[in-house]
Amino acid sequence: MQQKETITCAITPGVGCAMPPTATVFRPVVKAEMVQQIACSKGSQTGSTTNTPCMGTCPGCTTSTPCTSTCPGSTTNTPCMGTCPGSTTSTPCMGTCPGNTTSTPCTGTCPGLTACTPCADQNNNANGCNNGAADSTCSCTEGTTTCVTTCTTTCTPAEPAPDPVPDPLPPATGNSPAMVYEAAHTLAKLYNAEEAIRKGTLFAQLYMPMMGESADACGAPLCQGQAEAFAAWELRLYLNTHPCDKQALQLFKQYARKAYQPNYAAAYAFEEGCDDRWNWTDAPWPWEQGCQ
Amino acid sequence: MFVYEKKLQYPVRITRPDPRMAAAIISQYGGPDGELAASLRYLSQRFSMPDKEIKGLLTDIGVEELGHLEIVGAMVYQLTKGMCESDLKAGGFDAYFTDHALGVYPQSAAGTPFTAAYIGVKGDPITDLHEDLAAEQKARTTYENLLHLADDPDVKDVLRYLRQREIVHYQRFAEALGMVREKLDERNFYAFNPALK
Repeated sequence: MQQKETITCAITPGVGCAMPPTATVFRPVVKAEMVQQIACSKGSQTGSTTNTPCMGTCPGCTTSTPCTSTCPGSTTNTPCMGTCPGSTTSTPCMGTCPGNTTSTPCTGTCPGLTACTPCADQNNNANGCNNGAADSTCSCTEGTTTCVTTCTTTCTPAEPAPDPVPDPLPPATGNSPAMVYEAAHTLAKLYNAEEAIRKGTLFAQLYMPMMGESADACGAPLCQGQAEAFAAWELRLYLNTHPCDKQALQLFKQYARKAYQPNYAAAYAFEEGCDDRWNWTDAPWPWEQGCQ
Repeated sequence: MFVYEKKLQYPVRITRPDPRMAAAIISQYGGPDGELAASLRYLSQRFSMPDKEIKGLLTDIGVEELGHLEIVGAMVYQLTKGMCESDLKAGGFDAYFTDHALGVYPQSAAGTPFTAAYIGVKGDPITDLHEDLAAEQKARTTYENLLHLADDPDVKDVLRYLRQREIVHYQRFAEALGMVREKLDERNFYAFNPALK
């Protein structure tokens, strides 16, 4: 707020004016109560009567000491590095244990659980399993602050693998370093799914191992459905260049159904049986020797 | 669009670290005849292919090569993770380790970073399919070279699988080239680019 004031100017000797000139100036008016308002523009301290800038408030604090953080229930300005639910001290918390009120680092419990949520029963006879029993198990991994429920679905398919057409066509020469384009490539001799993925092809006519290098029956353990998915993929490539081969189409559908059980969601985005949390990102990832 | 299935096409389980082998196998990750080059080549060539079967084939093989890229990356990761300092000091990995430590970086075994100069996309189906046939042979040869270098059976198992896949891809590209040839006028074999029809 400002008020108008008239002041008398100082005169220079010798100029000889009758009256000293005057000027109008405006001076700020400072009222007693405004002092406190200015001081509190940076923050207010309950009960404070000074203009010290306040940088923060501590509950229950009556000084202008800058507060750098608040601890629930704290009456001091000690910086809090974290809060533990229910904690009333400023002890730094290294983590929170749900339901825990101390700041002790948590080594891990499965919160609220004394047992894992059982998986939904996967005894679905539409997938070809006729064993009549629940075919999934769960285990809870302790030692972490999250509960990991792993569900495994093992199922013995009721129908046997399809029989290949019995035509003893010998495989193409495997020992020559040059590779041959098989002009008359057909479905004449097919491996079953496990043998196919180990060898790298479903088609005996295209199996051409390097000299001295034959595929092992025992490699790294296969994931559920991995062999059938490979067989379906091989047929997919074959069908791209042989679109009218009905036998190949039928075989593709059989393998695809077995590979992607029980549904699209399970194959691509979500693992069945764990209904309480999004688990797609759970370890292990494929390069960490993991399978779904 | 692309969907990711959270599993490798073929399982990789390498229990013995071998950084020298990793420095060689990295060539199939980002090298001239590696999986990244293959997948980028096929996924780029498919746009200008006139025949739908070949569009489908290039898409599927391009996607499979991305899956193989993941397998090769997993091999490099497992060959270096958990290695001892004595493995590192034994040599063969110094230059790569200096710039990338245990990271998986697309480069050739000689250290050249990946470049699109490794691929050809000519927009002519005959030309592109010949490029693809050559690419599959080059990849097969590279896997054979790696099989000569490797001694760990877990590593060789995966390399054999990947080599056989290149043979199957060669077969499919040859069939595709046959499909294109059938549709061409025999007298004017190279007279026009079918893609520009």
